[in-house]
Amino acid sequence: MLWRLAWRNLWRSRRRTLITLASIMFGLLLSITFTSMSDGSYSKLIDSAARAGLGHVTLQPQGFRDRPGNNLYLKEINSLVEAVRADEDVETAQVRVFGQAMVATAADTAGVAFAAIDPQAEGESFNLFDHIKEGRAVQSMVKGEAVIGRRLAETLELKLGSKLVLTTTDKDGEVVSGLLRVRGIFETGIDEADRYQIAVPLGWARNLIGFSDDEATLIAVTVHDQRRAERIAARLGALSGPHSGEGLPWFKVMPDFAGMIAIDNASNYLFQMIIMLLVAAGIFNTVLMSVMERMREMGVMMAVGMTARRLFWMVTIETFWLAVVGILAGLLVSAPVYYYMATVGLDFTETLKEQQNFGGVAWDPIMTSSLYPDHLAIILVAVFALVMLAGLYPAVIASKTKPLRALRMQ
Amino acid sequence: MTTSIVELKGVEKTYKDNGVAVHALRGLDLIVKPGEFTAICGPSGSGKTTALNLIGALDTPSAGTVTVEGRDLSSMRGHELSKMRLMRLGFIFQAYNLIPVLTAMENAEFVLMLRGVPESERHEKVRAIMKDVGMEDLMDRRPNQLSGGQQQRVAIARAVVTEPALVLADEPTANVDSKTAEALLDLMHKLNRERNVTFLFSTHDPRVMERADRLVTLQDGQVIADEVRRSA
Repeated sequence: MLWRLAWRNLWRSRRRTLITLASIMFGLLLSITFTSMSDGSYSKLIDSAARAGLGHVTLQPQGFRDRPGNNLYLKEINSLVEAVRADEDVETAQVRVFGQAMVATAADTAGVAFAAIDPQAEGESFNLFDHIKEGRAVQSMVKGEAVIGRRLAETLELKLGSKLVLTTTDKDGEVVSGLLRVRGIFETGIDEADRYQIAVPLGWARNLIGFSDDEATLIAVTVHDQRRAERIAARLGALSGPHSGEGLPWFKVMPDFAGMIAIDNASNYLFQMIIMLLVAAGIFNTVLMSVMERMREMGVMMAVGMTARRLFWMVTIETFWLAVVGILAGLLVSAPVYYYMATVGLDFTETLKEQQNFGGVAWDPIMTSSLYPDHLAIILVAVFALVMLAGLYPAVIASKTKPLRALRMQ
Repeated sequence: MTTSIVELKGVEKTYKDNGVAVHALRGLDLIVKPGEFTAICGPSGSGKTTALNLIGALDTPSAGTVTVEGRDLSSMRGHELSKMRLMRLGFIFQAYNLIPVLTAMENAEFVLMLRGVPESERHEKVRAIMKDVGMEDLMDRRPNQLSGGQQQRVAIARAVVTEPALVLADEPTANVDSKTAEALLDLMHKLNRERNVTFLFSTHDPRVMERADRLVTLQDGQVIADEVRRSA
């Protein structure tokens, strides 16, 4: 009966309750929308960064992070990659050779970072290949084929079919050179990538550097859930130990990029906290007003034998109903917005023409939502807790009702 | 063995009103026995409502003792007083004071719910008392759908449904017309006779005074007359 009474009390001032419910509803809508946009964007960004070469988890030689060079490499890599692929959390595991080099043409020279990939294993899934504007991806394992960025092509006056010489050091530190022919030109819109990155076949790079078929710089591992990257990295790192390797999650391999996400996330949380505090203030006002208006009635209730504790619970249950109805309404309103954002998204192609990168990673101008279930749970629990907290003081005020004083109120 | 249900001994009550001491009761002595139908009358400010508030454990005396069913209220703690009001007392207010969001039946049921009476038993008791107060056809209406007299009938039902030892009624007929007042008095008299409920009214309504078995007159916080017309 107390629950029924509390429910009906909620609807005494229908307009006020509806306004309060609307504030909870919009608070939840904003929270879900912003969080899902963050989750969706960062998830895509992190996947994009992972596919750009290093994976969500990178298995690389110990010490490579501090002193990268072709003298550091993973040995007996084929058995390791098989073991990694057998892990249930692993989506793909690609063997790659990474390194710094100079490329030269008759026109000019430029420093580049090359990524040697296995075209048979990766097909056209390598991130840079998504942005090929001319030509095609590398297809041969051993031929001297290169896919280069637009800016680099302009600097070196290269076009499809043009030749260039790549010079680097081999595994023993000796300078080595190889001839490449341009098979594709990509354009990511990120100056650094378009000017600095170059993709070559894995077999060709191994031959140039002197790696055997069982040696490479790293294994780029993509996983089903990038948020578990740290745990998976630790597990796979243990596997790669005997191969002189270590496992690192993406945020350790790309700390600047991870830092930018963390800062953006923090400002997002701050914004949501401000919204929630405003919502809480509204709820506090509603429940307190509702209690103050009913002091006389509460005095009657106490006079006929209701205890202070029961009055406290009655107001707390009213707040509970407010929270439950507000959250349900918020979910109802958020669902279609979320569905639209998850399936269609917002297209910022025109707006972000010149700024389609985030921390050096290509930013998909079509922003879509994707909400992690645990984030949804946190939002719901936080909103519920906030509403209940806002109703706490009015409930205490109700429980302190002095029956005689309350009965004298008009 | 207790022969009185209420006993006031040398009760004084002094309020501060804008810093000025107001003596509402000045050494009030009163004994109410079980089954009585007693009215406390007197002019405004004579201390009628103050006396009822003290007996109903809604207020505490400045001096003297208030004893209900042999228990000195001053020795009881807040939750014990709540429990006593719930288990032993019934209240009828001048302004009815029903809970507006509950139906007539739910209002009468409310106190039984506070007592923890199971729902089926509650419904049975409420239906019986609503029939007694002539509200069986209007049980599903909310207070704002009832007349003043009907609301007071529900308030009476709420006060007696728990079969309390004592019902305290503060000016119960003040807000109703004379015909309704007569009907309410008939009803309370009937409950007094048939259910042996003790009634203690505060009133300055001559009709209530006329119908009371005992009439206690207060003036300036003291009993100036105590007339027993019919014995309980």
